Amino acid sequence: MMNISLKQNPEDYTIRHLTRKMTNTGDQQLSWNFNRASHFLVVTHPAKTPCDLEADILPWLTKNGEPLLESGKKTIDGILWNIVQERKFLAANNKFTIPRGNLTNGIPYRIQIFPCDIQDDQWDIYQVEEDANVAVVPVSILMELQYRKPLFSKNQICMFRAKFDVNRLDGVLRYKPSCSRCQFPVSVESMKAAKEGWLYVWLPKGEDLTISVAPEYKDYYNIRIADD
Amino acid sequence: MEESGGKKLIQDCIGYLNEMLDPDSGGNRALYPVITVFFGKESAEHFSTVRDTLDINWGKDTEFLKYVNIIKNENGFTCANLVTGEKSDEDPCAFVEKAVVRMLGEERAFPDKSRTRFEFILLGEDENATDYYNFMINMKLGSHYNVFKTMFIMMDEREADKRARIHQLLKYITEKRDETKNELGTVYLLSNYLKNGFVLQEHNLNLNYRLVADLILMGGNRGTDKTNNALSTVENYNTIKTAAYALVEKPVRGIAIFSLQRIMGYLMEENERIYHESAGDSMKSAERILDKLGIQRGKIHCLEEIFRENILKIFPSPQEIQYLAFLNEQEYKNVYKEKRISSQKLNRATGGNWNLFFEENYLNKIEELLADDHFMTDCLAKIEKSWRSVLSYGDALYGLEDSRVMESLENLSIASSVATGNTIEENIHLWAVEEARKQFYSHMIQLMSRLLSEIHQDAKKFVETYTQLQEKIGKEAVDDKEMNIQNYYERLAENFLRQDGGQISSAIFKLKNDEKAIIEALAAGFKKLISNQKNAPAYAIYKMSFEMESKTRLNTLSADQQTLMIQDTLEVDIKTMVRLHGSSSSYQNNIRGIYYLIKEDTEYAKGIPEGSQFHLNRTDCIEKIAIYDLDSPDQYCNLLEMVGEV
Repeated sequence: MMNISLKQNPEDYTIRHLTRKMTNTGDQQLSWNFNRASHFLVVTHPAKTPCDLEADILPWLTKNGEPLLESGKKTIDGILWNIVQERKFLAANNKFTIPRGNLTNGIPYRIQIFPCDIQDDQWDIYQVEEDANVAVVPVSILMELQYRKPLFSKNQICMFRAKFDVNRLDGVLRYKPSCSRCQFPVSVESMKAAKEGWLYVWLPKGEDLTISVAPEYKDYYNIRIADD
Repeated sequence: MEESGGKKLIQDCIGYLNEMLDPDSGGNRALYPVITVFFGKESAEHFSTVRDTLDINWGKDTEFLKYVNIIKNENGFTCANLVTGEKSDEDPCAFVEKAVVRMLGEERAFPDKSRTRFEFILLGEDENATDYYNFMINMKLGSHYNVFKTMFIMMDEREADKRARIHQLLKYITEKRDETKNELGTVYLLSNYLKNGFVLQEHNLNLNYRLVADLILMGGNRGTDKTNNALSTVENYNTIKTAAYALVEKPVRGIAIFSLQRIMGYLMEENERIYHESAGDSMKSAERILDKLGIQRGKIHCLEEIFRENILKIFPSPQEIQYLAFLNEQEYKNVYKEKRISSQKLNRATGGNWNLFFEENYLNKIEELLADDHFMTDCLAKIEKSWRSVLSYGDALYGLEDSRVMESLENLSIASSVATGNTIEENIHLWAVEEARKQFYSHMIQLMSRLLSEIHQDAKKFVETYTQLQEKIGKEAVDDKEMNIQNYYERLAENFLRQDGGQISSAIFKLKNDEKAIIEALAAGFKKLISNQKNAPAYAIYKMSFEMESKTRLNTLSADQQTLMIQDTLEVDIKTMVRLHGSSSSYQNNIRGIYYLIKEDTEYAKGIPEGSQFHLNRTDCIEKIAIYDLDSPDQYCNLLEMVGEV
């Protein structure tokens, strides 16, 4: 039975200069620097799924740590667990790659990397300060936006829709008319119920509408407006 | 040690009564500069007795007198000016010298600066008594300022430990006397265990300090005839003395205590009576309180005000609602066909977008505000201020005791606003605001219920504090159970309160009043009572002299009976009042003088033998002091024998 402990040693056990990039083949390539570690625990989880070190990761590892060490990789409930040996990481020139097939399209991911020291039955996991060990795999939402100006009316109709799996957009989208001080959240229900997904907003002529992402998801989604 | 609340109140009231008497010193003033040094922390507790006595008798010159407290500590001594409170760790001798020099520099005070009088007050039972004694002996100021020293050794003989320490000190002085005789000055031994067996304790302990002040006064007084001083009797170098003391005085303490007792009792009873008379049955009482609190017809006045002034502005304007995203053009047109629309219908037409907007811009906004500590503190402070200003002490104590008020608040059925708007946006906005208002009410009602409980608790705490203070004053009255004084002054106080009690009551019966505030308000009430001008003849008694007061109070008393009454105290064998119990000295042979401290034109002064009268201008008392030398003619000296078995 592994004995797993949470430790702090920001001097020696640290992650620095973590970067993520997508390769030509669509894989996610991570690179980072470190001072000391025998292994790295890499946890890749959907951004909307909470994954806290103490509340979620440690209890999971207590149960599944040993099999994970043996296999080096596990996917359970949409969360991808990897254990990377220092030796192999150095041999790959400080790079670790998550193959494209391991992640689901259209879901933003959050990747957390923890330096570990694993000796015999003792597994020490080190906390890293200020999210220096966090990388994000964002997703772009393609939006269509159109204006229709009825004759003899002071108003225009602004129509917009998401070219995206709207089921995954709960609480994500919002819009702001230029003539308003408020942000208007967009419900998944409305995007599903509207014909072909088009929603209608009446604005005074000359005003426009900006579509954005709720502040809590701004790191995970990008809005892209489709060309007419 | 801090004076307890009850004692302080009584002392303040006695002070007011003394102020009512003629404050003029009648020409008496301090002849020489006088510095009084209190050794140790405990002796300084009697500073005000000494100072007040000298202030009354010496009048304006007393502002120049110096009072110093010297306390032994680990590193030496700490000095303090008892008048200003200024403290210093400098050499006590230098501290004392500075005070002396300041007195000598006063042009208008002290007609004779050829000598300086040092008065030392030392508790014989003090653990550091020998250190203080040595300090006094070794002060090297004698020749420079022509110092006349007197040391008053105060002896509290109530406990064996104290008696043992007094014994040690007296033994020490005896052993050292030969070698210190040039520095000794006059020593007075004054015990609280009297020759007649009476033990001075509690407030009676002050009598010995009043005696000390009188001896200071007699030793350096310039009277109207310029010869009115008994210096040669009071002071001699290298002599050990004691004194006997008798006092008859206007019963200011009794007047203060009985008046206060009646004021407190009467006001409490009246408050309860008036409340129950005016409040009616408990149902009506609850309605009246709810009305005062502004809780009516499903609304709470102060919450409405806060909501209107501070909360409404956080919501979006109704016009914002027109920018909601609809499912299609038909739904939009259907909605705008009508002037009023339900929230549900709007939500359906917008595919849930209205609900999200409502939650984010109305419900979440109010929740954020309710979680804002700063806002909530201000909000509750405003409510508290408003409620405390309308609730009387009676409402808080008796009215809130009944659960009806609390239940009405907690079970308040929140009334909806009847306001309607002109547009569909305005109507839906009003509905959303109403929902937020309900949320605000339900959150606030819990806190307001707690606030009402606190107000009720404050009232109970007030009663507790008030009752405790009443008990403390009652305990002080043990020695003053003179029925005549009690009946007379209680009646006067009650008559006064019947006319002017309302204002005094409202100053005292404030929920936030702690003991200190109650004492201040009571003292102010007492001051109003004794300076009452409305019914001057009856209330003039507070200003009267000792003789007039007893004549007025005991109006059937003849002049002869009054003289007899005074003689009962003053003309007992004076040696029974000597401030030493065990001494075997023959007082008859050693008496140095007997003095009556009395105003010369009073009735009793006429019968006093010539040469025994020491004129003082105060009219509230007559004092008699006899001074004895304890040294035997052959100069054999043993202080322990002088004092007897301690």
